[in-house]
Amino acid sequence: MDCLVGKPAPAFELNAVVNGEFTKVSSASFKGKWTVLLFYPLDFTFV
Amino acid sequence: MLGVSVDSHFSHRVYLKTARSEGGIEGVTLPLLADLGGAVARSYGVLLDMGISLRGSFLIDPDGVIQHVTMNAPPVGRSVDETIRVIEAFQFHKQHGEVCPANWKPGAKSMKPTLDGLKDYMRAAK
Repeated sequence: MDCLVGKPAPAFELNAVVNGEFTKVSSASFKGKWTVLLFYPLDFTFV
Repeated sequence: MLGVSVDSHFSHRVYLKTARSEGGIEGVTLPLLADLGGAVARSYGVLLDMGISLRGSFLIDPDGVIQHVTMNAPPVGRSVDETIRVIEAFQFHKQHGEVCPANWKPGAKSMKPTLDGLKDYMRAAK
């Protein structure tokens, strides 16, 4: 896979928990803001 | 700032409500996104063959362009300080146009990206 730096962030829409509530989060909502997307392996791992 | 894993939003909800001493992250206010099946992790190049994600961080600018990536194998966590430093440096560059040499931090001298700018920077660094 090619390096993504300098490329448009791949788009998505996912189920999410925001402030304790179920909702959907779309990458389209990031426009105009600095955003950090943190991928992590699994909930409840130790690190 | 958003967290993403291949867990469901149901798992995320319990994870956010479970005490730190029990392996949860109670008190964290980060939105958590449910990438069940890992399609989004795959599109960002962080999905392992076993179906879970690496520890990948992606800084996306206001135009939707990725400016910075880190990827760790699962056993080692990220540096929050370094993530913040890089965000501040990219924001500084976007605002002022000057570039940020190695180990730049807010308040440190930046550089005009020209030969004269380099000379000015190196003179000041002496």
